[in-house]
Amino acid sequence: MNATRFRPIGLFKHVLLLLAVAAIVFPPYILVMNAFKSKIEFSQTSVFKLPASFLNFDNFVSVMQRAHLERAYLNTLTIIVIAVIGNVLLGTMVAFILGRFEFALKKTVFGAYIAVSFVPTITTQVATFTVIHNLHLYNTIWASIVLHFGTSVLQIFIYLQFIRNIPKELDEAAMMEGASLFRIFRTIIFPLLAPATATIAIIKTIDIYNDMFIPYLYMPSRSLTVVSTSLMNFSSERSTEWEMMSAAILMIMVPIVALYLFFQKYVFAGIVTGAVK
Amino acid sequence: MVNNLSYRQQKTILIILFLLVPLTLLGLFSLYPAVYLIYLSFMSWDGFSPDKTWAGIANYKDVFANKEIWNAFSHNFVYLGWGLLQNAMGLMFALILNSRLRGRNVYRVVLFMPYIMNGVAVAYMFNYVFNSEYGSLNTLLHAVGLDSLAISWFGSPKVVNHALGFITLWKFMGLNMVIYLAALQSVPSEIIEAARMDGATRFQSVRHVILPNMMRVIELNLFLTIIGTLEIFDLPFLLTKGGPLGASDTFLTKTVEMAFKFNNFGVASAMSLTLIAFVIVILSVQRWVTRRWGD
Amino acid sequence: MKKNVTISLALTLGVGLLAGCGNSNNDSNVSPSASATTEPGASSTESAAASELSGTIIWATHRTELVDTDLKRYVEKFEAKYPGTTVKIEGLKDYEQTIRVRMAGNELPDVLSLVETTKADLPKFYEPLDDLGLNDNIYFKDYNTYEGKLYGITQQAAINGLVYNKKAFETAGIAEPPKTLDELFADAEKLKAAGIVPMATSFKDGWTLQYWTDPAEFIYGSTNLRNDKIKTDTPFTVDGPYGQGLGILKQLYEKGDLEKDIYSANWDQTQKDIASGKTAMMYIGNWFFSNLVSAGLPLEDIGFAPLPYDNSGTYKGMMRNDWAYAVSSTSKNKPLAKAFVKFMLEESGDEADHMFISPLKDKKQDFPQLTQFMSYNPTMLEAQSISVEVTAAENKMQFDPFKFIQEATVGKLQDVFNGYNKKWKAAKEAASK
Repeated sequence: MNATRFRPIGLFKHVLLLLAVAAIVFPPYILVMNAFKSKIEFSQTSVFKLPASFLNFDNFVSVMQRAHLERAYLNTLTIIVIAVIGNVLLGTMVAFILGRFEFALKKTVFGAYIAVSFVPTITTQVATFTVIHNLHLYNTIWASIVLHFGTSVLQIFIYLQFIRNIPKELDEAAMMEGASLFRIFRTIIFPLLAPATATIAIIKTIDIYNDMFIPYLYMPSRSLTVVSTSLMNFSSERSTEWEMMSAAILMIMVPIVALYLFFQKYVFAGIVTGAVK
Repeated sequence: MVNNLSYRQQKTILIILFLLVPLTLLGLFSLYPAVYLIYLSFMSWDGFSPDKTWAGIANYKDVFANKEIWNAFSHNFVYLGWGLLQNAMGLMFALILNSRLRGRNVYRVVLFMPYIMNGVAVAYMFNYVFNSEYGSLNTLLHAVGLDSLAISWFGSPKVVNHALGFITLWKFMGLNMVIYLAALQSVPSEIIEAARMDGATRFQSVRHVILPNMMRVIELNLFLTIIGTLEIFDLPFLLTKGGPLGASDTFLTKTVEMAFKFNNFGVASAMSLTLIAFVIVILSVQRWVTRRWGD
Repeated sequence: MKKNVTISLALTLGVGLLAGCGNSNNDSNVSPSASATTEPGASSTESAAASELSGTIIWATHRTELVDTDLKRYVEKFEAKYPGTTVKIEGLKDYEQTIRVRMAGNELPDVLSLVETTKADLPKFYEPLDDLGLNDNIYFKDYNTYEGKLYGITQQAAINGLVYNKKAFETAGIAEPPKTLDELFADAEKLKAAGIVPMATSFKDGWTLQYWTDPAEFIYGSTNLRNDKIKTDTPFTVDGPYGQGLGILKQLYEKGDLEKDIYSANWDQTQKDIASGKTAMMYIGNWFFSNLVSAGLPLEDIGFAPLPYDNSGTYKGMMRNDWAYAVSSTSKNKPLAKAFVKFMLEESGDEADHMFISPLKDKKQDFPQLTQFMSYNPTMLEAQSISVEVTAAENKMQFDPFKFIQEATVGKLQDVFNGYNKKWKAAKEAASK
């Protein structure tokens, strides 16, 4: 496995990957070009043209001011932290029950999670709104938190994939030593799910980060602005300031990319193999 | 204290405790709205006023009599085709990036990048990629001499759904890849090593050891792809508004239009349920196929 | 709710071009009851304002891009005028859909942009605004009136006309905007010869086409055209108003006077192209000026003229309303909400900042483009609300006006109309049951 040795298959892989990379960076090119243009420059030059200067950070500065990004980041972070903790806890719990035990309503529970994933949420918003309203959560940050808190079929499936591959002998060995089922879950199963947890945390964070629908409908107050809705400070029905929007989009991508890099370590940490051995 | 209980008792308590909160949330925010949707599909309602009247199955009759809806639904299958390709590519890149390769961390980030991007940004960018006059794609095609391929991507009814389908692939391939990469970590390396010891080639170990072990997650990704493509909404809504002349309408853009533009929540609810029924049928077919293939 | 065919607008232009606008108000604008309540109503609001206003209201708006800039400034000005009051702004994307869900959930903000319901439902959701004392002084009073009560006041009025880049016209050797339809097509040829796209539509985005039904109403002589559909089973005919009116856009399309690929032509690019002179004109509301100015076209380079719809040399002009201010019936602080609406209309300075026409008839409008427009002496028409029956039938047939115009432009007119007539007849019968 010496990477420096020439191997045709390795070259082929790089060619495929580089093609994919080219296709991926091709569209965002215009974001980078236009984030550095002034308003007049943007409206009078082609979107593909290089900006007069890549050192023109005016747009980035005024995005910070106009979009109240610090407030938006704080709200978004609050929602993400609480909701992701909820997802991880509830997701592992449900998957543990479904993956390790046999009981009467097992198929029903699993089926319910699958069934609700068929329902296009955009068509059920009237009923969901009434629920939030009656729980007195409307226009509070909790509206978004509770709607994101519950686990989903995606998370249960990923966790089940891991639980299935954790040998039952580990549980049995712990039982021999008198460990309770809860202890088995907490000290054996939960840690071994770390790669799945990292993956789920990434995906859920991105979903919440980019969601505009829930914030607009359930928490319209200005003090509850989140990162995704702050983008709309630069857009209306009749006009969009794309030079500002481009800068804003690039800015809000940075933390997420950093977070992905951070979580990625845990996805590939190889905990499973280590523990099983 | 818990230790004094038998494992049987522990099991019962744990099942109840562990499922209580998740199922309450599921019931409140997912099941109840779904049941309400069924109720609404038999009512005549404009979506905001307090009065609803019983409509029986009239809404469903309207849905099945409306040719435009079914024509729009046929567009969803173009997305489905692109979705299957997206899945295959996601799996392929996951396998490549799970092996030792120089720069694999960079590739993992870049290939996942489109999924990180905000939907508004994606719509904006692709407006300029596929614009026939100024667009970067046609500029590129002209530059390499492929002028005949430089067509009106959003203007041609035959091509527009493929252009949009490509965008879904562009955006969601990274998600599939990341899920597959995670699942690959769950495959115990002993099994793979054992297979290699028995003289299996790299391809054989993938085909006979790794993939069967990941069947559940492959199904998950197919499941997500089928639901995602049959229920696609944002992309045509943001990018083409269903144009040109309805050529890129989808089942769900029609449903949302019915609810909020034509104020007919009854028919819109009936449309949603009809769509769900079709999703279930297609998922059953997919399950049958993957099970056979898995055996 | 029957209204006279044509309303001549008395636009109080600073330069005094009243002569351009035929006779004065008709019956519906000055009903005896309205004028009787005006004076006391106005003074009571004023006196209440000074003493009793306090507390907090929520204002939801569709103008998302301005919430942290101009709108915030207006709110601060209002709060300074009435100490002890607070106005919280909510900027909403997908405004209509969001508000409709909140309507169903009984959670409307105090002040909002009115989302249309059937007229009979107006009192369920909105508060009458007659006591603001503005009834005699606003355009589009009837638009949101039900049983004699006013539930919404348009936030701005707009005149639709040919917005053109004067520099582009100069380049092509065109001295004056076209006076007849033939001149319009001849000018388009000159522009094309100079390498300029004559007419922008932003065809792909659809909503920018809505103004092109104006010529049909000019030909019909009234904005009742859409409502009068109810009288016939075949409203869409090739030689009738719809065929003739939409025929103008259709001819432009067939002569190649629109964007090169109309299915790629989008609004963002259109603004840039007109500002840069790559495209010469667009038929649209005067609110478009501020977009062009911020895209870098100096105000003095913007021309504005009525669209010739035949070869007679006489003009008609269309005035349309926009989203309306409304106060929700569930508001817990109606006096403050109403005072805020009144403030926005009278004192905010919104109309000057964004170069639109105030809905208040006595506000001075003095930008040169409107002066130019009125100098052609157009007979002005005022848009009307769509009747209950027509709305019901249109919803039943799932009538999408933007798509209708798109289809009429590119399709075979007779076939397109046949299809729509068939659907219309069926929907009308079903809806009347």
